[in-house]
Amino acid sequence: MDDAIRALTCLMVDPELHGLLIKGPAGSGKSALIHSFSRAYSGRRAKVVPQNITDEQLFGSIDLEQALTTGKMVFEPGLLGEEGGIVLVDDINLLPRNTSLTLMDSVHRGSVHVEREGMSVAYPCSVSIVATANDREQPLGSAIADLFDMCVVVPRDPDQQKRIEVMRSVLSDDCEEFGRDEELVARIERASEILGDIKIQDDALQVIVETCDKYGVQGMRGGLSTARVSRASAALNGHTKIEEEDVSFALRVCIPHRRTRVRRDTKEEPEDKVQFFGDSHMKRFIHDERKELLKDAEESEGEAQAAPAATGPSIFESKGTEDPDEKLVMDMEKLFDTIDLLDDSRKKKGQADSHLMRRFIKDAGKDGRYVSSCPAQNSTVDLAVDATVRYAAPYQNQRREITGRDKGVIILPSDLRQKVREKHTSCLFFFMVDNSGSLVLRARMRAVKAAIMSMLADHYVRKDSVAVMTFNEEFIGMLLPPTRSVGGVKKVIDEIPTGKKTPLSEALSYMHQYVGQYLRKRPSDVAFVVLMTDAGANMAMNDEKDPFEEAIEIASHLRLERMECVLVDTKVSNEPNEKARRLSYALEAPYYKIEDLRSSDNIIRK
Amino acid sequence: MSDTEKRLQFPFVRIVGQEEMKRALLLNIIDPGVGGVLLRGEKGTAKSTTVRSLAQILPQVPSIDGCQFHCNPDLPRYLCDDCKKRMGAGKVETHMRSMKVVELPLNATEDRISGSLDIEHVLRTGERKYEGGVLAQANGNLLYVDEVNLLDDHIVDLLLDSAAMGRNFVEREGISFSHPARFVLIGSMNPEEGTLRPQLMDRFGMCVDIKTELSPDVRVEVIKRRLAFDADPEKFTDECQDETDALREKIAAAKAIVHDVKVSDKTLTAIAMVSIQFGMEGHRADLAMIRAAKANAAFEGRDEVIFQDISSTASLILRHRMKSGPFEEAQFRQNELDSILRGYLGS
Repeated sequence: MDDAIRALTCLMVDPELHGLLIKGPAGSGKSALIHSFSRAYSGRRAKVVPQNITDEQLFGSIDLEQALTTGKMVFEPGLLGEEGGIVLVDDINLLPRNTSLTLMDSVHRGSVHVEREGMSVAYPCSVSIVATANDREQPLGSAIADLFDMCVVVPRDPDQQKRIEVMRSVLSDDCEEFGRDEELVARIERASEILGDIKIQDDALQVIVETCDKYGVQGMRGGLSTARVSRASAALNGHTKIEEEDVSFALRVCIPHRRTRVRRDTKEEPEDKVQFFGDSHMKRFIHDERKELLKDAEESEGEAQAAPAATGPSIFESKGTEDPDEKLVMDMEKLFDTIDLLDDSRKKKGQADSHLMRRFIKDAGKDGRYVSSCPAQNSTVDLAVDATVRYAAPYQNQRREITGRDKGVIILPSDLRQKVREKHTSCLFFFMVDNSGSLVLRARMRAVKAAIMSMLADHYVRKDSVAVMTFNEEFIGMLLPPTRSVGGVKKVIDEIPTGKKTPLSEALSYMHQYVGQYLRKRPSDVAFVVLMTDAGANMAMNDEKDPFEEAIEIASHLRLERMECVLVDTKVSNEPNEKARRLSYALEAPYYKIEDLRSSDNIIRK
Repeated sequence: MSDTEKRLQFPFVRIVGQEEMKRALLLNIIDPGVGGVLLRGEKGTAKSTTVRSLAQILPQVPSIDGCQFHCNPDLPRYLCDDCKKRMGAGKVETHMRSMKVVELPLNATEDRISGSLDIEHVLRTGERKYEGGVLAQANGNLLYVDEVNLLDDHIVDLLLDSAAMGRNFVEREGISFSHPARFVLIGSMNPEEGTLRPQLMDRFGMCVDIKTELSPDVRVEVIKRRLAFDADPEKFTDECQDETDALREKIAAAKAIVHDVKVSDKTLTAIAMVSIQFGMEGHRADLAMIRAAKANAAFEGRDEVIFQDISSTASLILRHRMKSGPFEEAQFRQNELDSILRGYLGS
C-alpha cells in the first residue's frame, strides 16, 4: 500500500503526471484507498466514473433539457471538465476500449474534443485519472496501460491486524480523523513549488533508459514517466537532487506494466557493464530493483492463491504429501499466473493484445452490452431511445413551428438511432499434445494433465470449451472433441495413448483445418492453441523433405483470424532446444519451457 | 486551432529522430496529391505529437472570404456551389490563411463529421444554410484521425466516400447538399490493437512503420527535451522559432515550385517498371510515386526529379501495397528498388 500512497502523492505534485493504475484482486481496498486519499488531500471526494457511463456523460454532450425546452444548443461538459480533480475509474479494464483510449488521450493532451450531436467543442481538461483494474476478469490492453504513468499492484492484504484496521477505518468513514490532512496538503504544495528547480542528472536518466531497454519497454512514455516520477519523489522528500531511492521507486511503479520481457536470467546480470551512482551503489540498485520486480510477481502469486481457485488452498497447505500430479498442477498454475501477470510478455509485435481484444466483439443481435449508437437501419427493433432524443433535440423548436404542435418531442425518421452492442466471446482452449517418443513420456503426460487442469481452473469461464488433440505416427486426431464438460477431461487424459514417431507437420495441418472449421462455424469465438511438444519431428508428409523443415514451413503459414498459439516445450534438458524455439517463431507463438516453471517456482519459494 | 494551442504543441523541429515519418508528412503538405499518410507504430513513438505539431510549419494558402469551406480560388475545380457562383460573377475577395490540422475524435458522431443543414434558415429564407462538420473544416487542410483502426465502420465509410470523391454529400431532413472535401488524410494506428480494413489501407498514399528509437543516447535526449519543454513551453518554443520559421518557408517555397518540377520520360519509365516489378495494381501507386518524388525534389530545391528522390520515397508508397503470396509475407527490398531505378536512370 505504501507504494500506492506514494504514487498518489506524486500524481498530485506534478501536473504532467496524468494517470495512476492500481491493479489488484477484488476486495484489496483499491477504491477505499483512493477515496480516503482524495478526502485527506483536498477534502473533496473523487469523482467516480460508473461502469455503465456513456461517452456523453464522460466527455460531455448537448444539454438535453435546454435543447428540448428552448431549442438552444448548450454544451454540458462531462466529468472531465472538473478542474484539477481526481477522476476515479473503477475497473477500467471493463470499459469499452475506445472510451478508455479517448479518456486517456484527453488527459494527456489537456483538452477534451467533442464532435457530436451538432456540437463541436473543445474544453480544457486538468484532471488526474486514477483507475483500478482487475486483470482476472478482462485484461487491460497494453496500449491503454502505457498511457498510465504509474501502476501499482496491490495484494489482498493477508495480515489479520491490517484487515481489522481497514474494517475500522471503513466503519468510521465519516469521522473527522479522515478529513483533510493538512500536513499532507502542505507537503504536496511544497513539493510542487520546488519541482521546477530539480534537474535530473544524466546518470539517473541513463539508468532509466537502460532499464527501459532491459525490460523491452516500447515507446518513450515509460522513460518519460519514470523521469517525472523520480523528480516528484525527490521533491516530496524535500530534496533538490534526485537520489538513487527516488529512481528506484519510480522504476518500480513506471516500468513493470510496460515491460515486454521478463528477465529470468538474473544470474547473468551484466553488473560490470553499468556504472551509475558509483559501482557499489549501482549493484545495490540493480539488486533492489530486481527484488522489487520479483516482489511484484510474488505479490500477484499471493493474489492468485488468495483467489478462490478451483484447486483450493488445501493442496497448497498440504506440502510434501501431495500427489506429484497435483504438485504439477500448482506449478503449471504458477506458470500461467506468471504469464497472466506478465501478459505483455505473452504477446509479440503485431499480434499483441489481439487475443484479449477479441474477447469483445461487435454483435448484431440484441444481446450484449449497449456501447454506442449508429443511424438506425430499416426496421430496427433495437432503438437507442436516449440517442434518438438527443439527435432530435436541437430541431424541436423549428419542428414545432412547422407542424404547429407544441407538445411532445417530434421525432423524424432521420433522427432514429439504434444500439451498437458488444458481447463477450467464448474461447476454445485447444491442447495439442505430442504423445510420441517414450523418453520423458511419463513426465510429459503429467505436465499435460496439469496444464489442462490449471488452465481450466484459471481461465475457464462459463461457455468456454476445451479440446485435446494428440499426435503420433499411429493416430492424429481428437482425443477429446471440444466440450464444455470439464469433468470428462481428466479421465481422458489418463488414457492418452503413446507412440514413437512425431508427424509434426501433418498434425499441424490437422489442427489448422480443425480449428479453422470450428471457428468458421462460430463466428464470435476465439481459439487458443497450446502446443505441447519437443518439436522433434521425424515424419514428413512429403518423403523428400526434412520432417522438421517441413513442419516449420507449415507452421509459418498457419494463421487464422481468431486463433492464437502458445508453445510449451516439453523437452527436459538443460540445453537450449533450438528446434522448439524455431517452431515458436514460425508460429509467432510465445515460447515456454517446462523448466521455466521449475525455476520460477524456485524464485517464488525463496 | 487557436494560436495559444499552437504554441503549446511540442515544436516539430525539436522532435528527435523519426525522419521517415517527418519526411512523409512534409511531402504530403507540399503536394496533397501524394494521398495521405498512415502512421503505423508502437505506442509512445511520438505519432500524435508529430502530427499535431505540424500546425507550426504549415504554409499559407489563399482562401475565399466568407466561405466556410475556405475554398481556394486557385483550384476552380474544387469550389463549393456558392463560391462558383460568386467567382462567375467576379465578386470574390480572398485572403491568405494558414493550413491547419483538423482532428477527428474517436467518438465523433456522423452528423458532426458530415455536418447538417440549418432547417430554420432554409424555411425562413429558402436558402440552404449548411452547418459544416469536420469534413467541412478539413477541406484544404490536414485531417488527422488518431487510432484510425478503432473507428466505427459507419464513420470509416463516411470518411472513405468523401476522400474518394473529394466531396461530402449530406442527406438529412429530406434535403441533399454537397460541398468540396479535399484533405490530406493522416491516420495513426498501433497495429497491436487490430488491423485496418484493406479498403482504408489502400486509400493512404503512404504508410510509415515507426519504431521506438532504441539507442540510449537518443532516448535520454528525448526525455531531456520533453522535460525542458514542460518546464517552460514558451521559452523552449522561442528558442527554436528561427528553425521553425525557416522550415515553414522552405515548405512554402517547395509548394510554390512543386508543379514545375520536371519529370523526364526516362523517370516515368523507371517508375512504371518499379510498379510492375513490385506487383502494384492500378495506377494509384505510380501516381503517388511520381508526386512524392516531385515533392521531394522541390523540398530539396531542385527543379528535376533525380534517382535519390524516387529511391528515398518509393518504399513509403510500395511497402503497404505489396501483395503477400499464399506462402510468403511480402517483403520490401530497397536494393531491388535501387537496382531497377539504376537500370533506367543511372545513379
